[in-house]
Formats: sequence, structure tokens, C-alpha cells
Amino acid sequence: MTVKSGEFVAVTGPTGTGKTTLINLISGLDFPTKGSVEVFGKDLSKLTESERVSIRAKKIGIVFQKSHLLSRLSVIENVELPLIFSGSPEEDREEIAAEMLELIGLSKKKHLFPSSLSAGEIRKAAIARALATDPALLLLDEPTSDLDTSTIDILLPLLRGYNYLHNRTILLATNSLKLAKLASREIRLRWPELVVEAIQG
Amino acid sequence: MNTADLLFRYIKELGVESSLGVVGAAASITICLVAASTRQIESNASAYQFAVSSMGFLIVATLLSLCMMSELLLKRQEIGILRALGAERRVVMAIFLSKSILIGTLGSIAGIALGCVFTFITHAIGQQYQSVELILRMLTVGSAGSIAAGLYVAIRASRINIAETIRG
Repeated sequence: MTVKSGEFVAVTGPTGTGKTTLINLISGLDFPTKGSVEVFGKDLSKLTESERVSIRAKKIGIVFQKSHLLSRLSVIENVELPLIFSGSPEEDREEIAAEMLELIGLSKKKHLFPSSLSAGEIRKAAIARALATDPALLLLDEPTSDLDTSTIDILLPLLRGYNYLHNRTILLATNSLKLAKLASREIRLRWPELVVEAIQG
Repeated sequence: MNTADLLFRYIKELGVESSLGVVGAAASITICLVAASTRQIESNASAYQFAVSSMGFLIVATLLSLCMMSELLLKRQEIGILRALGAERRVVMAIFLSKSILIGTLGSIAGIALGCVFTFITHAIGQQYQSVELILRMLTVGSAGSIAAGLYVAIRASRINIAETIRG
């Protein structure tokens, strides 16, 4: 399967078909037992660990299925994390993180710790964290699972705009038909054949 | 926030595991200092001192390895998240190595202080002696043990399976 630069692709399929595994493979967090994964034209298995980390830090934003904010850091510090690892100038980090939280509607809670946020707010913070480095490739694993309808209504145009206006590539793993319709292409995973179908949106 | 701030957040937190590490290192250094202070085997003093120091190093390194491994088990998912967000292996290594050195140094200082007090109290009984050289040797033993333990756990921490930890 191939995803072109600037595409917005939804990966759908029932639970256990490998949506999360696919995201892990693309982000270099996991390795294929067969075949190869090329990201930004580079075969990940042929890169050094340091090169893979560099690609992940600078070019890929990930929203994990379980959000995974660090409980010892405040919301804004969590959003600053990828900026530290991508090498963004120290003086700009807080400002960028604050802008991201403003964009996602969480600026009033930026100094709180994740333990005092609702599941939906944690998810929003995770999305802000993934967008902080302005990544060329945004990977989202079930991004709307903890969100209410009004937040989803904010998120959808944000993702569409990020893809369309900024020409960023988005790969979205979801079971939500509403979210999948937003993408320009849908790829369905099936188990056990692992057949991949491409449907033009 | 910068990398140093992030490291500090992890290092400053002295939980139960870290406290046990400090106590264990302190007890080991105290025993070694007292053992090394005796004058009873003066005919083969250097071999005796070497044996006591080696034993101290092994005990401190083993205790701190256990303590840091339990820290790693507790923080496994956090480490996975940091790595998934783009943290280099050396950032993860720095967290565990610096924490192990801190625990080892605190334990060594406490152990030396306790050892000095103990040998002073028992001076009349066992004809013991203290020297700056002996104290520095014990500090070196504690530090070397903590560096060895820290390096072992730091390398293991930097090589965790990221996908597995973030799924958990």
C-alpha cells in the first residue's frame, strides 16, 4: 500500500485487523516480520536507530490510541515534549505549545496536570502535542474515541484544514464512518486475509 | 522546558525504590568502612583492603541494580512514550544513570558518616583507625557501584520495545 505526500487517508477495519500495528510500523516503533516500510522515501529497516528517531521527532506527529500524556508534566509541558526532541529553539517552545492548546480549545487548562482533565480533554491535549512540531505526516489512532460530538465537530475541520491548507499527509486509523468520510481515500483492513482495499473518496 | 528540566523531573522524585537504594548503599558502605578499618590483618593489609572494596562494589552495584530495575518497571510506559515522541536513547540513559549516581552518592555519604561514627564508638574495643584515604576509597566504591548499576539499567531502559510499552 502507498500513501502519497499530501494525502488524507483513513484506515478502517474491525478491531484486531492491524490498524495500530500499521501506525507503529510507519512511525518506526515496530518492525515488519515480512516486507518493508518506506517513509519519506527511506526504508526504515535500513536506517540507523538515530535516523529513525530523528524522522519521528521532526517529521511525524502521533496521536496514540490511549493518548499517553505524561502524568508528571503539566498539559503545556506535555505539548512541549516533541518540540524538545525535534530541536525547536527553547525560547519558542512554550509559545508554540500555548498556540496549539489555544487552537484545540484547551488554553484555560494548560497549567493543569493530566490527572485533573477529563478523557476528552486528555485526547485534545494529545492532538495538540502531535501537531506541535507541524509534522509532515500526522498519524492518528482512533483520535475521536474519547471525544464528545462538539469536540469532534471542532477536530474534523482542523484535520481537513491541516491536510488541505498546509499540504500535510494524514493517516487516520478509525472505526468512525463520519471521520473516514473526511479522508480523500479509505483503506480497509480485513482479518485474516489482511486484504487491503483502496476506495477513492 | 528543556532536556535538563525533563531529567530533573525524573531524578528529583525519590520514591520508595530510591529510598531503599539509598539505605542499602549506606548500609553496605558502613559495613565495608568498618571492616576496612580494622588493623587485625596488617601483614596483608593491601590485599585485605582490596577484598573489602571489591565486596563493597559488588554489593552496592547489585542492590542499586535491583532498585533501578524496579524503577524501570514502574516507568516502563513513560519511557516508551518519551521514545515514541522522539527522545533519543541517550536521554533515557541519562535519566537512569544520573538517578543511580545520585542514589549511590547519597548512600555512600550516609554510609561513610555512619561508618565513622560506628568506628569512633567502638574504637576502645577493636583498635580501629580511620583515614582520609580510606574514606575516599569507600566513596569511590559507592560511586563506581552506582555507575555500574546505572549503566546496566540505563542500557536496558534505552532498548525497551516501544510499541509493546505504549500498547500496554
